[in-house]
Amino acid sequence: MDETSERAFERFVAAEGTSLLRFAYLLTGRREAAEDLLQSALERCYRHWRRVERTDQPDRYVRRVLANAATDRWRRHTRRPELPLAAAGEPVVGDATEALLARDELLRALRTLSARQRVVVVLRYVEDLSEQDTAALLDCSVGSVKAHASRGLARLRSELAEPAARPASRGRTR
Amino acid sequence: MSTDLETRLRELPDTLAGLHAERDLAAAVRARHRQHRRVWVTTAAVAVAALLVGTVVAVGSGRGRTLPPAAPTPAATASPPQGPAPTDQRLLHWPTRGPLAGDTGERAAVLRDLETFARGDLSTYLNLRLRPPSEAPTHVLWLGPAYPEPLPVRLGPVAVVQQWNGEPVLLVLEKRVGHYHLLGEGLGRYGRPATARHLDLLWMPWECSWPTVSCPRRFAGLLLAAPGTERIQLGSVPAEYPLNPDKADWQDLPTDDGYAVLTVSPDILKIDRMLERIDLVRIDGVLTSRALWSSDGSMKP
Repeated sequence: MDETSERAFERFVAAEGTSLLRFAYLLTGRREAAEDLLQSALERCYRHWRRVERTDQPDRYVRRVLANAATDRWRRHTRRPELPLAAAGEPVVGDATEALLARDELLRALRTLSARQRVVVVLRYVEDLSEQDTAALLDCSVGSVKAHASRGLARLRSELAEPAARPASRGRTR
Repeated sequence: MSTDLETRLRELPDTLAGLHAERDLAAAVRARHRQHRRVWVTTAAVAVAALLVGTVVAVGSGRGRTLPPAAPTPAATASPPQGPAPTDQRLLHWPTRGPLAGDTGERAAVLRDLETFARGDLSTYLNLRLRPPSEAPTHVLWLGPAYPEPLPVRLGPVAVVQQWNGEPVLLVLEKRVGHYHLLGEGLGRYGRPATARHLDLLWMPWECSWPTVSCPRRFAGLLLAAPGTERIQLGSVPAEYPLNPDKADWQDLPTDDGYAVLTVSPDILKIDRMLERIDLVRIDGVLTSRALWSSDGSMKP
């Protein structure tokens, strides 16, 4: 990679790194997994950075790579249970207010979704992308986005309404 | 309920305010890239070296032993072009080699499947959207058995080695029931000086390039010289003249229409011993040595 692209890559990472890390965190539920996922995705993009730069929205492109990498990672770990967020014990911010407890509850519920549902829910409702933009980013149909979002929300509602009713589902990535 | 849940989801980023990317993230990514490249290059070099030694150079039991006269070369892709020249302009170059090259129906199916393939699953491997053949002229190098006899492993009934024009991407596809499956992709130009374009592509299954993922015991390496390359040679030198090309015994490797394409499926457990017996590689008059496969991935002419 030439120096211009190197500089461009550095600027991109400096500008978008935190935002991407938070996205990765929502996809993985653990900080170290998120950092690893982000580095892995950025490394893939780094290899072809000149091509990535040529896309209209490099940040969207990297998010797509992250989403795919998260799905791949989920497939690899499907048979290996992972610690739920609570057991991982890694508060993102220092104090433990009620709001944080509510956040952690939501994050734990997110982790009960399948990888695809989680990606769609995060893109649609956390990143606030439209259905069309989500479909474009994930390279799937709008109908597929709607289906995953609907099932994901239903699952989240169920998890948040009856957290104690599904002990078996906790701590397992699907 | 749904609205409340959606609101909570939208407020999630605010609760992650304490989560920041590390300051030297770009440097960490670069370091990771260098590490992966080293692994990739080293592993690929081992595979190719094993290929070259094991299948082409009839090396004796020790260093310093004079190489025997030219040994029979592997079948690999050295077969002559077969069938009529393709009229499809998306196939830039003649030949499309392999025993199925003359089968117009097979060629049409390949192009159709490649186009579908390029628009489909590839992005999950490369996270790149490659242009389909209709937009990016394609050189299909081989159309036939993936690893023809007498090589010991036949991975699939049909393989297409595809070099996207102008792009350092090599695809090796295996035809399974009704569709092509990506066996591997190679990006062989990492760290290579612009002037060192003699060795064009080096391929091995993608899963072998990452240490955290198990590499199949049987795998294939593939070496292509750039178009126009007339000769690739391997040399072995006596122990008392380390890496001295003047003292080497040279063994030509076959090239076919400017390409040297070799495949192998070595026993990975024997690679180290095989590697010891290759000292020099000479490509089209440019000498390289085993240091060519240096840990930083660069290729030094």
